[in-house]
Amino acid sequence: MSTPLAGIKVLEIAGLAPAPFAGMVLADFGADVIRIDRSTSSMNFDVLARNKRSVAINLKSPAGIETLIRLVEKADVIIEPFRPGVMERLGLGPDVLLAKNPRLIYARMTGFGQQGHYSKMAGHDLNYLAISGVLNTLGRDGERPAFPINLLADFAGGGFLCAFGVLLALHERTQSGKGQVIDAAMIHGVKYLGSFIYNMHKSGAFFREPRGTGQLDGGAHYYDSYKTKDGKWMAVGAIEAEFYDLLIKGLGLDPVRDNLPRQTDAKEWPRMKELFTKLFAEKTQEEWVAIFDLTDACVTPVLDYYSMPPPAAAPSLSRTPALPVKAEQGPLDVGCHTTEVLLEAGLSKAEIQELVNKKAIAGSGLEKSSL
Amino acid sequence: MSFQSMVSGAECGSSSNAMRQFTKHFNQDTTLKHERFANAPATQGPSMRTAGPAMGVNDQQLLDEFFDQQQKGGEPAAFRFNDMRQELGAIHRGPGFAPPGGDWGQEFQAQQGARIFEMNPEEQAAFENAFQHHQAPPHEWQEEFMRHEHVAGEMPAEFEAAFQKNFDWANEFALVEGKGKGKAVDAQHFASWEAEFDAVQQANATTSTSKGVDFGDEKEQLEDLWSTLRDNLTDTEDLQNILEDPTAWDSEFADLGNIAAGPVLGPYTFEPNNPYMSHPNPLEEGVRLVREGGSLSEAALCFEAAVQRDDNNSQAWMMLGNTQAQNEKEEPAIRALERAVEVDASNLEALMALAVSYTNEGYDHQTHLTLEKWLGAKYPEIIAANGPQAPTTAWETHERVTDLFLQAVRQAPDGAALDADVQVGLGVLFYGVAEYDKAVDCFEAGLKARPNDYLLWNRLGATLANSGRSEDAIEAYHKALEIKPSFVRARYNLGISCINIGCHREAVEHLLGALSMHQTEGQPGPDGAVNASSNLWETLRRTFMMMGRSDLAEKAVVGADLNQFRGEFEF
Repeated sequence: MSTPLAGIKVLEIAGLAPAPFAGMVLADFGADVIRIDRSTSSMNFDVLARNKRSVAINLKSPAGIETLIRLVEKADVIIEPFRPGVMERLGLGPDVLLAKNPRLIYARMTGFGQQGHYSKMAGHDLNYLAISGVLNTLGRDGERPAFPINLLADFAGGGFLCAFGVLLALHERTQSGKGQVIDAAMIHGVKYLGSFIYNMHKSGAFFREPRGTGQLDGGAHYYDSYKTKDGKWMAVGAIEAEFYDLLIKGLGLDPVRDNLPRQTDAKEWPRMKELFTKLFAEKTQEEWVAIFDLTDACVTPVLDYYSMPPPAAAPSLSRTPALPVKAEQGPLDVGCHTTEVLLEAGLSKAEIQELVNKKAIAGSGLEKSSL
Repeated sequence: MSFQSMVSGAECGSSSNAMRQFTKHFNQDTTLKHERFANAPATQGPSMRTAGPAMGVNDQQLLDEFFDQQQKGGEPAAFRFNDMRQELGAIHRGPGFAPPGGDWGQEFQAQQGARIFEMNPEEQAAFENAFQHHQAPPHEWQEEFMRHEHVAGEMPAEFEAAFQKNFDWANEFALVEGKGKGKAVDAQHFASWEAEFDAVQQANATTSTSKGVDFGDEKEQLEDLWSTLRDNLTDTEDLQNILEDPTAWDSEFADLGNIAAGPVLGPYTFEPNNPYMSHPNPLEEGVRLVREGGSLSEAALCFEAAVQRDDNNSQAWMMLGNTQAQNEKEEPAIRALERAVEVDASNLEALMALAVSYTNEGYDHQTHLTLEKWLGAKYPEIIAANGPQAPTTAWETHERVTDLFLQAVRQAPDGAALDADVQVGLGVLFYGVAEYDKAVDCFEAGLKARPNDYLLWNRLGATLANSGRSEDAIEAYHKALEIKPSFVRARYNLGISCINIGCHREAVEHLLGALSMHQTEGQPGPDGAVNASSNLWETLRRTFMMMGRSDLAEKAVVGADLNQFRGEFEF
């Protein structure tokens, strides 16, 4: 079965988290993603390497740089994870590579972007989230900001938007025939993702200050998670009045008998939360599921992510779906496709051996003796 | 999926032992979970959590259904994914979704006083109709919201109720084609945000000394980091190091101003615990060890002690460098030889050895310049006759230096003994441009003059092997090892040639043999972390992988106890 990105060749310079995720998304949907690994170590811990190939190149060697340029000449996309200026120093800046291949899409995956105050500084997901401003909207009332592990900057606003940028540029290229440079900065990506929060805050609904006092940020009793008798959790998201009614009913409450306040009466939310907390603790998750399952009360069990099979690529396309995710997927050994990929790129076996002798490349079956 | 299962199947048919290491302590932390998975039948999914005592039957069914649906890619029934998908579909259509917010605002104003949350069906329909037809341009709705902003903190409950009522926008707006965008806010805000940064720049300047920003001797630091990771992946802190420094590779390139100028390895790194530091004459002891075929690692410690006593002893530095090169430790060799040449620019042996080491590391330009220095030291008249040269590209220096060496060959008077070193230099130059046949001729010519030069036998062998003639190479390595059984590099090369001809088992035995020679007095494993041979370990690991023995590859980490391989391999 054909895949949506079949025939698209992507070079992903090895990094961690966001760039590999961008590469994995493209690979899942059928792009030929080649991870460019460092040749000086045989290890890469990346767990987002499925459906990729690995070529090990020594980017500190002029011959290694030339080798990468050979690959770039036949590639559609390159994704690089370095801080601004590093690719330029290597002689692999956008000017150089786009001159070699004007159709190249050159995606630059960074935290702080190519320009700006922090562009040259080290940082991680949490820092990007902080600088995007979004972190300040997350968390409970009166508590420190809370962050959803490294989902938001690294993956949602980072790798995924980077892959999205690549698709936009690929699409545009069908018209112009030209590549372009993508500045995929996580601070901008996350900020963009937060558009709804930002705009709704302006409207005065949902998100209030301080954080954690609004409808969707944990302020409301009808939009929160509750612990069950057996130490598991139920997620409650009954925003609309008619759904809320079902929730109240499922919890065994009666608005009149129990003298319940109006759903949207924010003053009463803390009291209602206490009540809900008490009620949810009276039954097991299983019992709550039996009560709420397939009702519109918007109450679901919180499932155990780690005991699920590996996450499949999404979304699902009807004619050209993503590649299936194998239940058992080993790591991608550094350089295990060096020979294969370089032969495809038109290098001869003798040229490949010469590159090995110069320590410009490395890989499986490519051993070099020392003079 | 457990990490265990993740590592058991691999790309390229062999599993990375790094991942196994990684898995090991990961599993230690999650023993329960690990056991559960380890005991799970191969067909995971429905039955995968049968061992979980806390899981209720219904819960189990839910999960089963869920997984089942996921795997079939079918339409899940249990969790209203269908509805969710519709919602998401609408959200994906994006533009149709943000602007209506403005309409609520307007709608709200228009119906001031009305209790929207108690609308009758007609009102409801009208309301929705308004939603669908009244699409304000972005700036309008935004203004609208801004006007509301002063009361934002105490937004009337009616507003929220109205919003709620229509929160199920997936259906409401599915019909609405996207119009308008909210991007103006974002752009504007960002501009001022940048300006804000400029304003606080000074305040932050002093605090921005995070680890990645400091590019000082990053090469060394990184090599350290990576070798530490490589070598000691036994606790999670190491893993954290790598996970927390995604820019590690990037800062390695921080000072790449002059890639052609070759390595900037910096000063030699000494083994911290060197018993020869108290030896009365470590230099002499080192020379004796080398002469009598003793351990090169012991000899290296002697020379390290010697140069720490006399940093300006070019000969001692050279011997240290030569020993490390013969011990298959190129980087310390280069550091020592660079120091030898720095102290004495006319140390011919050090210059030649350095040129060879540069070649092994792929530093072409440095090779040429070093050979030129060698020639200048030995044949100053040739350099004088050719005049000074401006620095040029690696290709041009190759042309020039080759020409100088050929002049040296030609100028030898008839009948005079051939200068084997000139042949070696030429051989290295030809090797560098992949003219392997010529290089072989040169090394063979050199061997005619110096048939017992084991270094030269090895160079011949390596040239043959690196040009696809491994069988012939093996013969040359055997010659070298006959003369110098302690020559680790030749044994390593022999191992590689065995790999090349598919004899993995023999290769492993040679590599382990070479590693066993790295053991020094009182050390359980091959020598210290400081100057270990990553080449040997990496090759050993790759060979195990080629043999499909990821169990052994996992054990092949720098400093490992070699005895664990003894049962299966002879060395």
